[in-house]
Amino acid sequence: MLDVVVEDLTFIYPGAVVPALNGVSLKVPPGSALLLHGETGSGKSTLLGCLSGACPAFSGGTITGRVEIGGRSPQAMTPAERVRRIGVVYQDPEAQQVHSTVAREVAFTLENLGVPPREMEWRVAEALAMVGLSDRAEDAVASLSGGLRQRVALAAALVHQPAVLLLDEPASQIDPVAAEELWDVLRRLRDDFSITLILSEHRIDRLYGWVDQVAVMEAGRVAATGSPREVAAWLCRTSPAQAPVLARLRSRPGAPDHPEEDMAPALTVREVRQRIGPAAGTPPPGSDGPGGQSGAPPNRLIAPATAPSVRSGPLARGPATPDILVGLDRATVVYSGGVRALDECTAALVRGRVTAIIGPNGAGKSTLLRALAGAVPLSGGRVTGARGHVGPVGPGEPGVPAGPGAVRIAFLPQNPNDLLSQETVAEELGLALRLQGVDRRRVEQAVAQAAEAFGITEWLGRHPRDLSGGERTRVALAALSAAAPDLFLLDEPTRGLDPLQKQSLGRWLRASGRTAAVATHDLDFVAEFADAILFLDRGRVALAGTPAEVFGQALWFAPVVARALRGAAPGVLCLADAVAAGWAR
Amino acid sequence: MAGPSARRQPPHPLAIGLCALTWVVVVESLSSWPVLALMCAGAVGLQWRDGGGNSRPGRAAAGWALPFLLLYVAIGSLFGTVSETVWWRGPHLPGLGTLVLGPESLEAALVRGLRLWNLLVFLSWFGQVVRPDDITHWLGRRFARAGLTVQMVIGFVPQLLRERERVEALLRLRAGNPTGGIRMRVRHLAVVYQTLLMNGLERAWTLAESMYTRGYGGPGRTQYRPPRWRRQDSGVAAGCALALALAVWSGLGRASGWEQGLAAAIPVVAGAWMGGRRVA
Repeated sequence: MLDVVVEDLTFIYPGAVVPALNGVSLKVPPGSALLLHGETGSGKSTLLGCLSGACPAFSGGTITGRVEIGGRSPQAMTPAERVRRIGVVYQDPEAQQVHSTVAREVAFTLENLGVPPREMEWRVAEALAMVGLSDRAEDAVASLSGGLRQRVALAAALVHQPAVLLLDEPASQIDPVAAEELWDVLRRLRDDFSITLILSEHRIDRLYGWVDQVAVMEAGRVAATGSPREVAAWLCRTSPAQAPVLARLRSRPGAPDHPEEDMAPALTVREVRQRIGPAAGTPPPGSDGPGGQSGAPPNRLIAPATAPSVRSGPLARGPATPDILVGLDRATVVYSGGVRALDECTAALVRGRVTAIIGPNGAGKSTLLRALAGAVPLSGGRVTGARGHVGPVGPGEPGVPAGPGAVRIAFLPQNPNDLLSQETVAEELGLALRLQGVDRRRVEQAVAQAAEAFGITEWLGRHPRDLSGGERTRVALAALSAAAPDLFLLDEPTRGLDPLQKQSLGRWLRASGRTAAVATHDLDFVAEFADAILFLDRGRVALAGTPAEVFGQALWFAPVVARALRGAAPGVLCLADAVAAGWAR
Repeated sequence: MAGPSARRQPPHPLAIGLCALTWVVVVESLSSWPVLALMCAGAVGLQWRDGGGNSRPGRAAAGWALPFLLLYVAIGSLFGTVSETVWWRGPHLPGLGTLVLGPESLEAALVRGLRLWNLLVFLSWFGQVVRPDDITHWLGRRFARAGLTVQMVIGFVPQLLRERERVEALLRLRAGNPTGGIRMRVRHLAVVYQTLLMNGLERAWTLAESMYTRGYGGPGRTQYRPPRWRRQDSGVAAGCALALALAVWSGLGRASGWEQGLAAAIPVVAGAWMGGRRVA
């Protein structure tokens, strides 16, 4: 059991003028969990790098101040000493993989430490058992899902029994179900083995419920630190958009925020429902708005499927006879090995509306997007709607409506890096147009417009790869929008985005008025910004409807606000709904 | 619950290497085309089974081997040496000689073709069966770093190929198919490879940092589960030694048909056994 002490830590990357960390001080008691919470680029990863010893030994740069793990500075430790004390898990499990099989990958650190082979056997077996992968020891790492790969990385970081485990956005590349499993494992590591955990993450809602401390980072400084409840209360006062969603909910619509001193913000669904009390099943008196659907039966877990959404105005739009831009009719996609990714799937995207595609892992969400883009051959069925050309139009026509039946498509893959190849953001934004032969003046115009729309004008001269993950996603989206597409197909666009960036993405999507299909696990985003939902399972649309219809029926596949207010405010699905109905500030 | 594959003991890397060496030597030493044809069929069978009959390499090996073999033999047989029996005499080609077709030239072309396609199909199968850890083992402790590098490169190549396909498709969606001649095609290709290069460099950086934090580079490195030489491996080694002896015998022109058949059968059987253990 080792404690972690950081005092007045400042770190500057080579060639940088502004320090990435500036006077950071923290103290993490042994066997506790600290969450580093902050916007993209606030210095979380750099702090973890300083704790792991990678900064400055690996990255270069200048470090001042004090960093100690168990009384020793990681920068002064020998490699063996450092490795024995510290385990590290990074964002991308694929990028940190050295060996091809699970057991061998987990044993890598032990091999480096010169542990005798006989001792390695039980250590590897134990580490795999800790993360629930005992039966996959001989499997190829490449054959595992993203969530399981991240568990392999976790086992590899635990196999040498470190006292401190550092995790840099470990759930950013995996779906929420796998993330839940990961949190369970981490919680057990802290509770049962007293491992000190320090992790950074954007999906904070679940973490606030069980970590011991939270440090809010802003521009390389620690803006606030304390227990999750204290920090949540502080965020609710100073920066509500960053606060955990549940902490912003009230016990009844229009109730003053925390009237009594002891009413600290709730951090779990259970706490919210306990505070709502009997009202959790009873409509709040006098609220005939969407937050209080009068007539809802008490203690009803499943809201009526017809419960209308709180939305009004532009959010509630929807033509009586839908104008289908593009769709699939009994489409089947079979991958090599006989995997039926789509199985006679019928789906349609209504012009000008945002359609969310949700469902469990492997349900076929990404394949559905690719099929709509015409990027995967169909074994059966057909693409409907766009009778003519699907794809980008010829040169000289950006901003000009496509010809009859033609649809210009913008496809954002899960990994935005696949779209980033240029030296500057400005060149990246204009790439598609330049390749289409558009003249320079029009390219510059389109670039300026796209940069302004996404608020990235100040990055135009920067290298896209110098930006953080969330920032790269914004650049990729801006680059796609510069070519004025008719249809956006976005695969997990909120991955790696902080709450503010998610909000701005959703608002831009709505304001653009374009047709969009968004495959995502982010149900809060769906609840707030989607007009329609397609719930996919085993390659077919198992459920379709508005967010109110789908989330009113689903238990697991429901956003956290809908879960917390189920029964009390059936039509309230997301934070925006809750704010509109007076359930949140 | 452990499946049947989990209970099987995998072959030793050296046994696999010996089997590969034997296959190559036997193929090069055999002179009987029926035996070579049977061995080639064995290689196609192994590739079909272990490479996945429905997979791209499986289909390619099985589907393309015969047509290309026939084409190779058809062309090769015209460039044989002149012998007693000549079925057909063609025109004289400057620099290549006169085209001549006879039984000897046909047989020689058939043997050459069968050798070539035998080795190609075998290597395709071998690529499916051999594991990166085997390569590390072959290079030994002295070249352990080189072994690990080769191992990572081997893992990286298929990933790179998949990535290239993906990036190309994304660029086509984003900017359309390249039009306007070779210049635009080159520009498209440059964008694809620039993306791949940047992704590769970033991945390499992350991997290097991960290896650093996991203590790579220190002295006294050990190996997890070093492969054990078992009785089954001794059996493979003995069989391969016999096949090699028969191959040398055959190379000297003294082996009978059944001796050549035995020399061919041993690596095929050893390969079938080892491939079953690895891929199952």
